[in-house]
Formats: sequence, C-alpha cells, structure tokens
Amino acid sequence: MTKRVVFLLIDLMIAVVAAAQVDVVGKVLDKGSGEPMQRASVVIKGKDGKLKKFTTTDSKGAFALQLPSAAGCRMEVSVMGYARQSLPLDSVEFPLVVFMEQGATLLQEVTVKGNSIREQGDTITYTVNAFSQTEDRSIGDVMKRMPGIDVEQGGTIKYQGKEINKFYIEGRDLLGAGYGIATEGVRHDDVGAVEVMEDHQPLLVLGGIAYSDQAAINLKLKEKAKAKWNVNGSAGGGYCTMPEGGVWQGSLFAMMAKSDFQHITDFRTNNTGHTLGGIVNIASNTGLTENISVPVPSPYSVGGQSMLFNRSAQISTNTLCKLGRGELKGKLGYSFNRTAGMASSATTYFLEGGDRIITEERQGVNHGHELGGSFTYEQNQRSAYINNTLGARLDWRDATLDVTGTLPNSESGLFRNGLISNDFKMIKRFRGNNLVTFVSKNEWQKLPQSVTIDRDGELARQSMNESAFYTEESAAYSFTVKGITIDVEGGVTGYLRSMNSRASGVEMQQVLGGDSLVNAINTNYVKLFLQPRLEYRLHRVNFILNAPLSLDRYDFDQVLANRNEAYFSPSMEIVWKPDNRWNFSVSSGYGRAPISLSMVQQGYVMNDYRTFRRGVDNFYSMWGTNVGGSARFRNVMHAFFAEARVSQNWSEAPFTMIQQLYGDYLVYAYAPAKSRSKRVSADGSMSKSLNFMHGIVKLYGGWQRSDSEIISQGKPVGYATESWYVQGRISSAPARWISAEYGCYYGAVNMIMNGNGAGWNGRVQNDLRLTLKPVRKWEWEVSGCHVGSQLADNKYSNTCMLSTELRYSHSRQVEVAASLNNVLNLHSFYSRSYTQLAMYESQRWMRGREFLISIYLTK
Amino acid sequence: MKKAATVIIFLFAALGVRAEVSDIVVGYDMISSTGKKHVGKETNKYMLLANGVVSKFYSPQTEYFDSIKSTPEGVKRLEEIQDASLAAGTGFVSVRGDGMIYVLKNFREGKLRHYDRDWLDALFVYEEPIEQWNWVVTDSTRTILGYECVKAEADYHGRRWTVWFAPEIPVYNGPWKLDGVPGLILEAYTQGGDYRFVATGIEQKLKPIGEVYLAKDYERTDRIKFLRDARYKMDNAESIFQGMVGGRITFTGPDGKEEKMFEPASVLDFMETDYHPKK
Repeated sequence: MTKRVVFLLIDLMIAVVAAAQVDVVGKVLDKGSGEPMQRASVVIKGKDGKLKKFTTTDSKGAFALQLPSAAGCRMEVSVMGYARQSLPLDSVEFPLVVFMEQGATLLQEVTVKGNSIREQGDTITYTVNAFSQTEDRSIGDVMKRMPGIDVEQGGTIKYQGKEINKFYIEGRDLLGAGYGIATEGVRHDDVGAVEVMEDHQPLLVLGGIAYSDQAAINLKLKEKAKAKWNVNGSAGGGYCTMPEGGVWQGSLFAMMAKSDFQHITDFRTNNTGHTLGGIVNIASNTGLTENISVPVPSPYSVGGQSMLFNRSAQISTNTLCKLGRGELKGKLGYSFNRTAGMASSATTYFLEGGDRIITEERQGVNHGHELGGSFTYEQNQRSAYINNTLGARLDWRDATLDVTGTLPNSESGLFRNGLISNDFKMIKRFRGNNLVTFVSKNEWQKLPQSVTIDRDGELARQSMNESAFYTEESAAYSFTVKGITIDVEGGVTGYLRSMNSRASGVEMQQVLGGDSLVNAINTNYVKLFLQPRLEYRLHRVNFILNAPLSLDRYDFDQVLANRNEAYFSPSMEIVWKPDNRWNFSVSSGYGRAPISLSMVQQGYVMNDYRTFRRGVDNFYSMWGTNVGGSARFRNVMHAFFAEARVSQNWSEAPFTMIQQLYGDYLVYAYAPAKSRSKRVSADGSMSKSLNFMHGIVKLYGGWQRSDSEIISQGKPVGYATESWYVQGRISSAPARWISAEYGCYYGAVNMIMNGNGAGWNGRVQNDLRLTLKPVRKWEWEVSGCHVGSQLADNKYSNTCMLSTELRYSHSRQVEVAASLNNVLNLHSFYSRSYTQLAMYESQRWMRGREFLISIYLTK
Repeated sequence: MKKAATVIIFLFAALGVRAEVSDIVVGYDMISSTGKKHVGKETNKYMLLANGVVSKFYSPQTEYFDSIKSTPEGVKRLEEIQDASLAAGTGFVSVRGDGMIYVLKNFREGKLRHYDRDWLDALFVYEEPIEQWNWVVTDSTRTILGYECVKAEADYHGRRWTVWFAPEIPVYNGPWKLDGVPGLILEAYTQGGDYRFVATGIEQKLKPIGEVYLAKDYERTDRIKFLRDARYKMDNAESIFQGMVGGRITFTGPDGKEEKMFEPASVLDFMETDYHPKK
C-alpha cells in the first residue's frame, strides 16, 4: 500500500514537473514560397544570452523542444541565405510559425588567417591583420611594420631598399606614381592582404623577355570593401600657442574598387604643419628647373612633429574604367600651400685666408598652387601593349622674404611653371618572343621666374624666362634566339630650348660686368640613337648588356659654334638568383655623355640675394664610370629580409667650379680646367618579424664619401664630404593593452679640405611611442623625441619634443581623438649641416604647444 | 587562383549548370602527430568551402601548386624553382604543398570523394557514401571563435571522435569527413589526440567550389584498399626506397640511432583504422 502511494506521488510530481515544462513547437516556412524549410537551425538562448536548447527542423519544417521555463528566453532561427529570425518566447503562442525571408545570414566573422607571410613563387603575401595594431588607421601605418617593406613620408614604398614600380589595388594601377594617397587614405581594415610581386614586369607583353628587378605591390581588399563606396573622413579643430590662434585639420577619402571600375577621391586640409601637394606627377625630359629663389626657411620636422607654419589644402580625383580590352584612366588634382618660415642662421665659408661668416635672420612666406591632370588609355595584354598618356600641369607660386643681418633686404618673387606632354608607346609581340615597339614623346615646358629685391629703397631685379620642347620618336625590335634576347631600339630625339635672363640694379654689377648679367641663348639638338640591348639567361643567372650609341648635332643659334658629337656608353649587369632566397647583382658602366644644356650659360644669374652663378662658356662632354653590387636575402618562413649595396662612381669634366666671395656676395662660375670627382657609398638594411612579441625590428646603416675639386678664392681645393649613419627601429604589441615603438638614429658628417677635416658633426635622435589601451575603446598614446645636434666635440644642443593623444573608438565607424603636441612648448630648434666648402648653422622657429580635437568617421 | 575560379564559373555558366558557390569559408588548422618524439606534431592549413549541398575541404597552398602543375608552363616553372631549390640545398621546400587531402562532399547525392596521396606521391581517389555518424550530443559547452559550442562524440571508422559544434551556424558540416551535427564543427579531435582540427576563422564569402586540379591524374581505388596499400608502403618504406635508388640506406634520428622512416601503425595509425584485417 505504502509502496503504491509512493509511486503515485512520484507520478504526480512527474506530471507537475512536466506540466511546468514549456513545449516550444512550430514550423519554419519560406516566406516567398510558403514551403517548409528543412534543416533550419533553431536555437533557444536564455536571459544571459547563453545557449539553452537547440534542434534542427525536419522534412516538414517542424521543430519541437522542451524548456523548464520560457521566461526571458529568445528563439533564433537561421538558414544560410536567409535573414536570421529572433523572437522572444515570453510573448508568443505555440505552435509557432516562423517565416524566413531571403537575405544575408549575418554571422560574426573571424577572418580566416593564413600564415602572417606566405610565399608563392615570386609573390609574397602579408596578411594585414597579423601586422596591424589598434592605433593604425591607414594601410601605410601597417605596411611600416611589415618586414622587407619601408614606407617613407608622403607614402612612397620601398621593398628591400628599392622603390616599387607599380602599386595596384585589386590588380589595377589606378594611381600611377601618385599612390601615396592610397597608402595614407585606404583604411587598413578594408585590406585583407598586401601582396609583393618580386621582379615584377608590369608590361605583360614583355613577360619572359625583359627582366625587371623592381617589385610591385597589390592591395587585396576584403570582400566587404569591394564593389562599394568606402568613405572615411576626419575633421578637427584646436588652438596653438605659436603661431597663436586656431588650428584645423580635415580629410575625406572615398574609394570604389570594382573589377571594371575604380575611383578614388581624396581631399585634405590642415594648418597643423603638414604640407600637401605633388599629386599629379608628369615625367618630363625637358630638364628645366627653377634657377632663382627666394630662400624662405624650409620646412623641417623633429620626430614627426612638423615645425612648419602652414595653411594647406589639396583635392585629387582618380578614375579608371575598363573599356574593351584596355582601360581609361583620368586624374585631376589641385593643391594650395601657404607656408611661412623663420630662421636665424650663420654660414661659415672655409677660406684659406680665414673663415668668413655671414649671419642672417630670415622671415618669409610662400603661396604655392599646383593644378594638374592626366588622361591615359592603356591596353596591357600578352600579345600587345598600348599606352597613350596626355598630361598637363600648371604651378604658380609667389614668395616674400624679409632679411636682416649681413645683407638686409626685403624681396618678393613670382614663379610659374607650365608643362604639357603626350607619351605614346606601343609594343606588339609576335611569333613567340619577337617584339616591335614604337614610342612617341612630345613635351613642352615654360618656366618664367622673377625676383625683386629692395635694399633700403634701391631695387634690384632678376628675371628669367625659359622654355623647352622635347620630342622623341623611336622604334625597337626584339627577338629571342636560344635564350638570348636582343633588343635594338633606334630613333631620333629633338630638343629646342630658349633661355633669356636679365638682372638689373644689382650692387655687384661693376664687379661682374654689366653685360654679363644678361643671357639670351638657344640650345637645341637633334640626336640619332641606336640602343642595342642583349639579355641572356643561363640557369639562374641573367646577363644584361646595353650599348647605347648616339650621333648628336648641337645648335646654339650662333652664340656658340655648332657641334657634332658621337657618344657611346656601354653598361652591363649580371643578376644571379641561386635560389628563391638570395639575389646577387653586379653592374658596371663606362662612357661619355654631354653636359646638361642648362649649364651652357655665359652670363650671370642672381640665384638669390647674395649668390650669383654663371654656367660654362662652351659645350663640353664628360666621362663617367660606375660599378656597383648588391645582395638581397629573404627567408619568408622566418620573416627575415636583408639587403646590402655598394657603389662607386668616377667622373671627369673638362671644367672646374669656381667659388668666390666678393665681400658678402658669393659667386659661382666655371673655369676651363679639368676636374675629377668620385663617390663611394655602401648601405644595407635588415628586418625581422618578432612573432613572440607581435613586433618587428628593422636596422639600417650606410656610409658614403664624395670627393670633388673646386677653385676657391682663386686656388684649387680638393674637398670631400664623408658621412655615415646607423638606425634601428623596434615595435611590439606584447599584450592586448600595450604597444610600443622605439627608434634610434646616429649619424655624422665630416668635411675634408685639402686633406684636413673640419671635424665630425654628429646628430643623434631617439623616439619612443607608447600606446596604452587600459579599457576597451580607449587608447592613450604618449610619444617623445629627443634630437641632439653636435656643437663641439662632446657638446650637443638637445631638443626634446613630447606629444600625447587620447583616443576613444565609439565603434569602427566613429573615433574621437584629442591630441596635445609639443607639450613642453619649445620654440626653436638648432641644426647644423655642411654644404660646398661651408658650414650652415641655423636656429629655426617651430610650432608651439598645440591642442587639437578630431573626429574620424568611416562609412 | 582567382582567374581559375572565374574560368570555372564561366565554364559552368556556359554548360548551363549553376556553378556551386560557398555560403561560408572556414579555416582549419589540422594538427597531427608524426609519431616521432623529436619531430613532434605538424600543422597543416586547410579551408572548408561549403553551402547546403556541396562542400570542399582542401589546403589552399597545395591547391595553388596543383593549379600551377595543371598547365605545361606551370610545370616548367615549378621545375625551374625545384632545380634552384635543389641546387641551393633547400630541397623541395619552395614547391612543397601543405595538407595533401581533398574531401569533396555532395549531400544531394549522399556521396563524398576523397583525394589523397601516399608518401611516394602516388595519387589516389575513392568515392564512398556519406555515412551517418552516431553522434551523442552532451551538455558540455565552450566558446570557440566567439561561438558557444556544444560537445558531441561518436565512433567512426575505428577511432573515437570528439567534436565541438556551433548550433548558431546553420551549416551541418565540418573538416575532413566530419559532419552531421546540428551546427558547424569548430573543433574535432581523436581520442589520444593523434589528430585534431581547430577552426581559425569563419567568413561569409561567395567562393566558387571548383573541382580538384589534376583530378584525372588520381588513380581510382576504394578506401580500404587505399589505406592498406599506403600502410604497406610505409611499413616497407626502406626497402622500397633502396629499390628506387640502389644500395643500402639507413635513416638515423638526431640521437644517431637508426630509425624507421615511418612509425608502425601500433605507434601512429591513420585517421581511419578499420582497414586492418579483422583478427
């Protein structure tokens, strides 16, 4: 009896418990078709978000689960290719009918990681998130940490010490040489991998025929960043103590990368010390450069902290469209920079009869504008290559300067530069490795410049007007026989240049002679050239021989006698790649070359308010010899890269430079006496990932010496400058909450005159950046830089810069940063350098303490 | 690679067949014992491309080399690289693939194809039905890659497997032949730990699920025969090697003692051990 009662009680309890259970039953149907959905995932999560129960639907789309209580629980139903459904179980009745709508099943993604660096043949792939740290914004920030890759200021990239030849985004060359806007603009978390293609031959038609020793970089975007607008921008404002007043910075970067269309528009502006510009680069053969200047103190930075006083803005837009077999590329850019500088300086000229010191205080402003554009059509195929690029560029700049000291004056200058060019190249490959090439280049440049100098009401003026036209028409034929590729290029180049200059009202008129301050010259030539090139590959060794020959006719429009010249300057290179880790090369060249025609200038030009320069009085040729060698090593498995280079050049000219001081004026000219010069240099670098501390170490070092001859104050002087440096950089993110980067540099330079050294002048720099992430979303960065410039043997002028920034990342889309730069509010900086037989010491004024608050937004 | 994928998609499109494209891409590390104490374990990187119907489990690096080998120019290029590596004494390092297995599953047909090679680089493929695993789902949970995972256990072809799967991810698949639990398998290991698969990443990516390169070069066989033959070749590796190169060859470990090229099955067996004749 008692037993029965016990069983009854147990049965009752079970029934009560069962009654307390909730039966979660229902069906999952396709909203579009109403069909039941088999194998849908049905998951029930508790209040705490933890998994409580799960099942999958059967062939009728049905599911059934039991829960002790449904209070606070949610049910999630998911099927790949359908939007996930999530519903609270408190407020629903069973049986449930869940309709699934087609859409994205949003999963929490974790990037599928490969090794941080992978090697596939000649391509090395760096996985971006293996190198990125939370403080990084652009892809350039991350690439700085990749072994073997260096990113310089302005975004230029070097791989194993050599500048890359192409920068691709998803395999397309949208930006050409102006790729810096992408390294600084593309967000690192939009990029999945950076690929380095070694020995990259960008012209498919030359594949297997012409060897290239430069690498190219390709950004592989993440799926989420492809075929959509990726936009990021920033805006910031604050206050600076010197120059006193408000400061701002702003940027907007928009990118679209599809397989048949790419576009980047970039806008930026600031008055926080970062100059902009150089966005439209047009290669030019006209050889014209500015010859006169208003020497406004140039920008300088200490530990990345600019000393420049500026107002700058730039906008550029780049578009690429696939058109049939080729692509059309258009680029347009404009930039404006207002830069001001203040410096006091002392220039010591080392002279036999005693040193001469000139002191100056300069304060000036530059207003510069650059406007440029280019339009390219390119077909890059295995059988043919066609490229036509039409480019134009217009720069205009005016400058004003007040000088006190040895030669007090106030001056202003106007500088204009216009360049238009059209380059056409066509290569056709046929019968295997035979090639024909046609090249047509036409360029025109005009460069008017003028400076007016006011010395106590006495006006002096220098004006110069230079223009040039360059044309090149050539054809080439290449063929390969038994592994030997022979390429013969022949053609004609023509060059027309006219230069007129006049100086008036200058104090030196009597010393130099009135007539000698006027120039009017035309320097023209026609060249017939033949450039045979031979390339032979034997196992892993590549032999390259160049033997360019040219027959030139120079015409100086009766100012000088016309000349006929023949030039031959053979060169060779041997590259040996014993395996996929090592690469050795040696190169050498010898030959005779004409001087630059801009050196032919019989009258003086006032370069600046105290420097006059005259060119050579006749046309000359120079002899030159060079030898060089390099070794590169990489072990991708161990993320180790190293390279070293040595080179030596000798040259001999039938003229010697004269440097003469007349009172406070400096005059340069040339004497018809033979001079020799020599330059030797050696440098190297290595980098290695330190995976155990999530970091990288990079080491660099170099030495060079150049020897020249000059006539100073009427006497020949042999002088040399010798310099060396060592540099190291280490970065690490040992834990989630901290990352650090330390760099140190020591370099020294010495000038030796007639065997006597002026003494080694050293510069030491240490910089440290520490980023702390104490709590999620917050980051605090402190950076400091110490620069020591040597004054005497053991005496240094030391400058310490300190900056700090606090960042709050609200989400991937929104980040706010508050920065305080130059915390110690330093106002000037000392530096010393050597120039031709002179030492230049300057004290430059720099930006004071500055507070800036910025917001960074990403779409 | 991408080009090859595009070509495959176009080929399917041309044939009027819908190219199979993944819903999900999962990276796995396969960590397996070598049986040798002084070598320890080795890791191979694998990838699973899957949708509800088909899936492909493969090693991207191996596939890359196989794709190169599938064209005459590629073969020539690989030979050049190999010559250079041999000349430099770095062996075949630069052209070494990663994991050698490909597993292609088709749930509609209920079949899987398994591509593998023995140590002599002979290629074999076999087809077999996708078997139902008798999973026993437990209450244990743990978080992997941010997903709460549930533990399940089953016996399969001679070994006891433990898996951790994410019920929230409606992909009922996993690395190698593992599948059939109500969620994506993010970790799996055999009893004793000789073989382990660990998910390293999950991405929702539309990637074409292509065929295996050089599929025609694989000799057709069946599973048990493949495993038995592979074992025979490993157990007799030294004599096979001597037959190939002549002379007497011995292998020594770092301690200078002679050792066998491969451990016997009693020390380290394959992932499937049911090929041994029943006693």
